[in-house]
Amino acid sequence: MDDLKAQRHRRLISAMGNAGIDVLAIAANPWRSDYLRYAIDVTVVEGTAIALVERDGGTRLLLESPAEAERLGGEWTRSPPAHAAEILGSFKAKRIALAPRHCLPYALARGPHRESMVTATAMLDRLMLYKLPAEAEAVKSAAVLADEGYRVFCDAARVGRAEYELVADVEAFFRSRGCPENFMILGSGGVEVRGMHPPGERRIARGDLVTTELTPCPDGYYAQICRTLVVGEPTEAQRRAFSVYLEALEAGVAAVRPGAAMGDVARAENEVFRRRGLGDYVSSEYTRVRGHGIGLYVDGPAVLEDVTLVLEPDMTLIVHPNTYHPEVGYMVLGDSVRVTADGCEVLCRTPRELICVAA
Amino acid sequence: MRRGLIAWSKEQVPTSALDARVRRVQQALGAQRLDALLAYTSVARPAAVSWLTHFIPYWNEALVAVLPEGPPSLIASFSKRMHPWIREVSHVGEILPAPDLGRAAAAFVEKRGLKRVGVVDLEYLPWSVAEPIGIGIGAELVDASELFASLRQPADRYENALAVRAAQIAERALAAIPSRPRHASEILSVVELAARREGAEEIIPRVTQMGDRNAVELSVAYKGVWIRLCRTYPLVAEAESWFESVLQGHAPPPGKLTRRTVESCIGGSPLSVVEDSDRVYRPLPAGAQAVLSVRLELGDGPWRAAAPFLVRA
Repeated sequence: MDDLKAQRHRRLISAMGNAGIDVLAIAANPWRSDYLRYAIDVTVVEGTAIALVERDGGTRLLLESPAEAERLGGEWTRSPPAHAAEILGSFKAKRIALAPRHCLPYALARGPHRESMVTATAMLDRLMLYKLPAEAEAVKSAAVLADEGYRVFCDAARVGRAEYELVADVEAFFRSRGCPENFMILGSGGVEVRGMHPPGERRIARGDLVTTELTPCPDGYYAQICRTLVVGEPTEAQRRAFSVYLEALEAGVAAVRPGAAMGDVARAENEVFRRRGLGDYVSSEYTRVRGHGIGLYVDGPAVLEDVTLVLEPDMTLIVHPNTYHPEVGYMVLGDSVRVTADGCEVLCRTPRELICVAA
Repeated sequence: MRRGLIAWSKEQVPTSALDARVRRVQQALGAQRLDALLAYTSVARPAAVSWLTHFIPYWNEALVAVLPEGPPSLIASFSKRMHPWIREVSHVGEILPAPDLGRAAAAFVEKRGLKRVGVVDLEYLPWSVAEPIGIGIGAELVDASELFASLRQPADRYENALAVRAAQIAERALAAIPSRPRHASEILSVVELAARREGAEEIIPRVTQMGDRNAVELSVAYKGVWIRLCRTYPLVAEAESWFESVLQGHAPPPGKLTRRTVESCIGGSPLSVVEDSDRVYRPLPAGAQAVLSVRLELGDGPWRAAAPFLVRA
């Protein structure tokens, strides 16, 4: 990991040099810490953070939360955006850029450097999208934890337990393995369930389909797994429905190769649904995306039919034909994959089955 | 990202309580010559919106718009499929889908002819949201942080009950820590399990090793209300007892007080520093919810504590 951090930093400094940037101000918060993690390997869990990264010098980290300042060894300030703007104002002869546009606070972004935002954000996006082999390896390690976490989830999914109790068991497991972050939503019930959401108070019942996407982030990189389990014996309709998702996932994964576009992957998945007369259920009314990039952020570029982004080796993504099925409700099935020289490596090892747990 | 319990109980927070909060904002708009108030929400800054509507995003971002009349509108970067869930967990009027939040917000402002728009925590508003409104359609963005903060505290009885429950969750989680943990991940694992099984919306645990002692700080959210609790292990009776007295009034510390902060919820951030050892940044009214955090240098090493309290008259 240390080597990876050093490689990332060298790449960033080189990109800053090519772009003519002397100082890069990077904003972060608990929702979007991915850019900061790339640059200086810092993840904030509370408040706003702004790092000032000098190409030929050090880095200053300004934090809104005193607890975070103590944990991360940064400087506490009541207003990181205003303080950062003041510091940048003192760098008279330096070429300054700000990123990323979608989380730069108003008080910093409205200043004299705002024109730099679009290109600096694009520069960082490129660095994060086209990964180093070591970054893809980090996603692979996270996928091992995702598989283990899913086993914990299956054990937790017992009749009478509330949705939030299932998440408690999984979170405790991830923490015991030193994993501080996880994105996780779920759904439980039958044909009335149209998607996944954060855990509520509903209790698991016999015959439920229980869906989840688990996305642990053990060392700064996320990997995701999506599976559906049934509490008790699956019905014939549930088995029949599952076979569509299985075929769609296999088709999607088979389409992942260098030179293919994200749209090709989505099309491969969706064609399976169309052939089975379920074409309506791959529209935005029933599903958001057919997968997405994954790495330092949980939700990278979308796998949708109109996305032209071309895949290259060591890109990582999740392929998931998750959607509503009119006979049984919302179903999910997805694996994280890594693009290789001639195809892809599937990183998740959990069997692609409609998993049954005791009723 | 949020992955704990997100649910709305109308017994715990009745619609009338949320309506009353919105009415207070609406009554204040005229005095500031504001056409509307916008409050941004994400996992990072959810507090203003959850106070007004009980909406708590588990990821993604949204804006609540309060106009002089009517229920607040939610402009949300969630797919329309999530709207039923949003209605289940929150109290809002219109929900507008916003694939691009800034553009959708600008369209909302323009369509209603809003010229002067107050924004809670304007300095923190993401540029991707601020630019389309402020530059794109030329609406005047006004920092409404002071206005909001003046309305936000003291807490009402519903919020106080949620804070009591959050503190109870944190207490139970700390009580679950084994007497001789082998490593920090063991502490983190047991507190996660205990807090989330009790229904925590979120938990931020921090374990700090200080010589022979470990300080365990838990920030716990329960249905939108955040508290912090910190204990130092092994417990130091004299310091514990001093901290209890400090929460009730002034008492001389059994060592050197090296840090003291008071935090409260006054804007989008769940807890913001309103006072530290050097100065009072924002006086709190009686009945305000707050968290006191201290660090002492005892004769045999550092010691820390934190706990929620209500500001006395």
